[in-house]
Parts: sequence; C-alpha cells; structure tokens
Amino acid sequence: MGLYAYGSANNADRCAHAYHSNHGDIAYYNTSTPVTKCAVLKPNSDGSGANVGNLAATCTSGTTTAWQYPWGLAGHATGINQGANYHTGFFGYLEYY
Amino acid sequence: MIATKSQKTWLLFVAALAVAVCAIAVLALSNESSTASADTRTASARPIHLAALNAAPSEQAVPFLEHDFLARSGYDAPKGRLLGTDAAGSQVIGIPRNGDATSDAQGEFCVIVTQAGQPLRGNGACDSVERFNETGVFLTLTRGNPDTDEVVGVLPDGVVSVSVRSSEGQAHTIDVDANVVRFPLKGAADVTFDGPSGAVSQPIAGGLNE
Repeated sequence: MGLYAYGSANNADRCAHAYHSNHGDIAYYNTSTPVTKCAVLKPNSDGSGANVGNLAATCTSGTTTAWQYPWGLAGHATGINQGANYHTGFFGYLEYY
Repeated sequence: MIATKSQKTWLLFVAALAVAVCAIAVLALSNESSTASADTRTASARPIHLAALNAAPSEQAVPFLEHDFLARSGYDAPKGRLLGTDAAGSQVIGIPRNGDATSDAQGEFCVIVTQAGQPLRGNGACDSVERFNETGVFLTLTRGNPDTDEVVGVLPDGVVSVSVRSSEGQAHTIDVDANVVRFPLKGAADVTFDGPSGAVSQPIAGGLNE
C-alpha cells in the first residue's frame, strides 16, 4: 500500500490497501481534525481507476466517518483525503472474506 | 443470514490504515473472537433524536440489514430502520452503532444508503449521537458524474426543511421528508437549517473523479 499525492485539493491524497477479492465494508475516518474524506473500492493499487462495480464513492465532511459497502466485490479499499491540506490521524477499516 | 456456512468459517481480517505514514496493522480475527467482542459492547445510553428508530420495523424488505458483517462492525442491526426509498429503489436506513473490536467509537448514529438495484451494496456515514442530534448526517454519493452524483442527509426530529446553497451564494429550499433529504450534488456547496440548538451550516463533500 502507499500514499499517493494527487496534488489536488478535491481529489488529493489516497491510501490504498492490498487487493482482496471479496469485500464486506470499508470505513475511513479522522479522529484528530475534521476533514472531508472518501471511502471507495478502486481497481488499481494506487487507489485510482473507475469505482469498482460502478458503486458510488462515499464522501463526507467534518468528523463523520465515510463507509462504503462493496459487498462481494474485488479491488483495493481506498481512503481519500479530499481536504486541501495535509492531515494526519486518518484511519481506515476494512472487512473482507 | 446472508453468509453461507462456509463463509462463516472463513477468517475475518480487519486492517487499520494510517494515512500520514500509510503504515498498516493487520489483525486476523476469527468469527468467534469477533462475536465475543461484540457481546461485550455496551449500548449507548444517549438518546438519538430520531423517533423513527422506535417505530416497528418496516413491512418493506430491507435486505441490507441481513448482512452478518453489520454486527462485527459494531452496528446494532436489529435497531436499524428504513427511513425512505427513492423512485429507483435506493433505501435510506438509520442505524445505531456502538463500536467494534478495532474502534473506541461509542454511541454513533449511522446512515446507510443502498445502491438502487443492488440492495446489498451501498454507502454510509456515521457520526456521534451528539453531533447527529445537532447537525444531522450528510454524505455525498459520487462517481464523478455531475448529472448523477447526489447528497443524502438524515436530520434529527424537528427539522422541517434545509436550504442548499451554491458556491455563488444562491439558495433553494428542500423539504425534509421523514427526516430524509436527497438532492443533486451539482451546484451544492453547503446546507443550512434551523437545528434543535440554533442555525446549522454543514459543508457538502465534493464529487470524486477517478
């Protein structure tokens, strides 16, 4: 997995987990600083590509946790910092079978 | 339950990602250990200001609530309630969440929005009960398509309408239907409304490209 700086405030830093073939749920949250973030299953190991299964990404602001439920789909669980600034304290959670 | 017997014997893996350094810790938990942690959770005593959660379950089928991973992820599935269904069949579900084996989250309220035509898949967002009671929960569902991306919000009891404002300051009012609002993301920068403790302004998460 790695951190990829896309250099865009609206599509910025991404962190993609290893490939899994059968996901249950993905969560992405930030406990230290309210920031807009997204949770989404992506086809590529750098967290890029069209959303797997054409399932919408979940993006949310503030301290709210973003979840996506790509039940049974394969890919890379990806968290995205949509904020304009560098932030620390992000955490992700995923479940796969 | 949705999981087959063989699925129940598979290992559950939980991964924590830390974006700052992208270090990863992977925990391998058997279903038995996950269940044990779920059994020791303490339900939140804080009331959620959403009367619909106290209503009888909907007669309309809500397949998403049958997922076995809900309990492992800290959701209180039996208390989940269908709040609304749009014309395409996408369901909005309200559900309490009380934490799980990898999180100290206690007393959350979550919104789940199922994918139209795929009732076992979807999107969600959780926030503390305290914040939900003041500001509601909003999530943006995006494929990077301005024509289909949308925002879903669930408001606490008593909020009758919201004002959706564009970045240019233009605003239009949307009535809250049984605690739920859905509107296109296109042109929406923030949403304001009269909350239980005064005026609330919530920024709207933007769309996501590939």
